[in-house]
Amino acid sequence: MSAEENKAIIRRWFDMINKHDLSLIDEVISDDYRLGEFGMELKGHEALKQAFTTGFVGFPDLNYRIDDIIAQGNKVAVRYTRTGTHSGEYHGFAPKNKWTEVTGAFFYRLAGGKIVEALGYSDRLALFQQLGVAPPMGQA
Amino acid sequence: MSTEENKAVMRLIEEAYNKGNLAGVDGVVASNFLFSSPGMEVKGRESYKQQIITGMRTAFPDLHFATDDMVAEGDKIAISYTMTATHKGEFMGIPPTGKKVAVTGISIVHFAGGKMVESWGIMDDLGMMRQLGVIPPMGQA
Repeated sequence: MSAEENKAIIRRWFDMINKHDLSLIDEVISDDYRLGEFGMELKGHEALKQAFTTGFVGFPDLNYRIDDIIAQGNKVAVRYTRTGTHSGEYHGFAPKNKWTEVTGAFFYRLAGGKIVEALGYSDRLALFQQLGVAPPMGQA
Repeated sequence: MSTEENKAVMRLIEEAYNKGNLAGVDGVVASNFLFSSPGMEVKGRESYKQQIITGMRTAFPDLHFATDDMVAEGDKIAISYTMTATHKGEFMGIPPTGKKVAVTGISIVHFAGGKMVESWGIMDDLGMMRQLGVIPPMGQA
């Protein structure tokens, strides 16, 4: 796959997310997919679907806008803006109908026309502030 | 993306951030450079040198950025990095804690005319605050 083809696959994945329909996830996400985000790791289709379903419930208008996309070889980097109204249950936070807008970035690695690995970042501090909650305290 | 632009980014990381040698910055960064990350924007090369590079090195004198991954296309380059540093000076209002941190992030740099004109970045701020043993006061939304 060329860099341009890999970019098209990433765009298709974002389209699926924005339609809140992951029924064709097999076509863009590899079976052994791994997502690393802030030291946490998520593996495979089901875990990914579940994470997004939680997002779709919490934010029924959840949308990702691609602000920048850069591809080279089997890698694609994306800068995005995620928007959504918090009107459903989300990780135990009671919905307050708050509008949220958060920026973030992903580094993707693809193989054979599917995404095999992603490294993700998002502005969690802004999200917590917009949700009107204190960030959960964790161990470093 | 030319080899020259790749070299410019590596030079900025190795010399300016990691060694505090600002001599080569003007050669690779445009005077109207825009540096931004969530909640922060610094305009102009001089402000960038003073507030970001020198500011970071004052707070973290042993600051070190290691490039984990790079994606380059056209006039853009994305970098995934790990920053390691010891907190020896005031940082974002936080008095020095003496703690060592290892924080990862991604930056996307845009070039024009062979120089960096814009950099946008995001890092694991919350993880960093936790490693420093502090969480900043949260505003009420």
